[in-house]
Amino acid sequence: MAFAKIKVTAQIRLETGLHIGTSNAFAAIGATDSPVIKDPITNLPIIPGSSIKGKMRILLARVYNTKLAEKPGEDGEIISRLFGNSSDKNYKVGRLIFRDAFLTNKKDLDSRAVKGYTEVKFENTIDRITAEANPRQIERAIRDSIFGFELIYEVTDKSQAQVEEDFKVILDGLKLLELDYLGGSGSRGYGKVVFEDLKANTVFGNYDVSRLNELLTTEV
Amino acid sequence: MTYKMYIMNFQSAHFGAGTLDSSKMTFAADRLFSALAIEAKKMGKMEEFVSIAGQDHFVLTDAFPYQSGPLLPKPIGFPKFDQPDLTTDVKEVRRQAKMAKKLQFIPLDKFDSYVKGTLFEDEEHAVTNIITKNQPHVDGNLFQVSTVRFRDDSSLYVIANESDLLNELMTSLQYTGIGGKRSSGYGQFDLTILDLPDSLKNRLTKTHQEPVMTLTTSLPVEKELEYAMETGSYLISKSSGFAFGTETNENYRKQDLYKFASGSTFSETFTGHIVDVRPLDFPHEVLNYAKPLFFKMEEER
Repeated sequence: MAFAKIKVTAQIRLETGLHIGTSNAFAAIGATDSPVIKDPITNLPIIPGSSIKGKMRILLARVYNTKLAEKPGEDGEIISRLFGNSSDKNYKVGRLIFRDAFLTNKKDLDSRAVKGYTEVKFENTIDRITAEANPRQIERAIRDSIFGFELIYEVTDKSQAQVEEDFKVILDGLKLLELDYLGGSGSRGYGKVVFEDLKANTVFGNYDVSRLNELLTTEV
Repeated sequence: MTYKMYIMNFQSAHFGAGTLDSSKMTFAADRLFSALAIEAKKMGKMEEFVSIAGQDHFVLTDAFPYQSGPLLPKPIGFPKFDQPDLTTDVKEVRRQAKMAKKLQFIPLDKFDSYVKGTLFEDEEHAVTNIITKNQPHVDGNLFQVSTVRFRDDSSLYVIANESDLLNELMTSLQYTGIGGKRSSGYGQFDLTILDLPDSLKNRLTKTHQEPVMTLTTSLPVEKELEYAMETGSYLISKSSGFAFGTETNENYRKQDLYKFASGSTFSETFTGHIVDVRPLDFPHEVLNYAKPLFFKMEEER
């Protein structure tokens, strides 16, 4: 009976400002039009696990799905087994568990005398006929913030033979994320992220991760 | 019979209260039991776990906050207002009633003074907030998830009977998480196992003929039910939802089960049971844990 849990950790570093929006209901009055999502306790920006999971899934679906899937429920076998598929009885729950990424380098940013952990970027729209500007403000988590990324992969009897294959898919996902963006307004430069210090270690049960660590260090 | 406190330090979690956009701060024992059972199934130790759980000495309680010491639920029906104190102003009485109503959990050392009628403000253990999420490029796919973000010095604890299998399952559960939206990162925790403080340990009981408070959302067996309802002060809590199974493509709903919420007080103990709430013609059983552990309302002299 093989049962183990492998934890993949990394640092997500922002190369450009990141905007993951949230509902306006809890933002302070007089704040920007579109606030970023923050941790309610510390009031620092976070990257929700659901954002990473959703983005990674849609990027991988373009690569690994054999036919065009209109809904997540129609995803192919490889995507379903990693991310879960509520309409397939074998993969009601996927093998991956993402986690919210919290800001880890607050001290370092403080020492570099940043004003706040988010910036407000002013942009505008120019009307093509009247040339009139229509300004807007967008909040972003600042460049060089580092977030602690964590991912749990579950090794069971079913997945034992496919661990390396799955890790290649996860790696492709991380690579695609670096070539794409996280959060909103990515086509105008927001949300370029880099994964650093990628490591896998077994946190429960017995599984030799040396082979996986080789994969992780060579490929990214 | 070694009861231990399993302290779970969460960062953020979603313990749905029937919907996705609502979340409670704690969870009932059935949620933990089901999570452990599913974890056991993945390890291939399902039968072993269910047989241990069926034994008399196995106990689980609901989760309560732990903030530099264990907290207990508010005993329902206490303090008793037998003789209204005519010296205080009516306004003050109403203000205190509101305060008592808002109070959810009581620190262990203040428990007896609360029963005698001392009131105090509840401390804040966690912040609940609602996060809006969407599926881009799909019309109308906005949904809201309510999350609980625990303060740094707050955790949750459950009392359970220590066994090797339970420790193993709880250790593994740290990385799977408990509650809703687990694959997006909610509900993972760090586990610490501590001994119970004596003042708590000496008052835990399963057979006691004096007034007791239940620490588990539980349901008496049929023949005790009538007497428990006659003599108890209780709240009803509904547990229902979809049954999780990997043998059907469709999702079926469990049978609704109504239980006595933790904090309900009774004049004597009862024995609970584990109820099978499987949907009709479901391939395997769906167990709902409803066995109580009690707390004596009065200290032993």
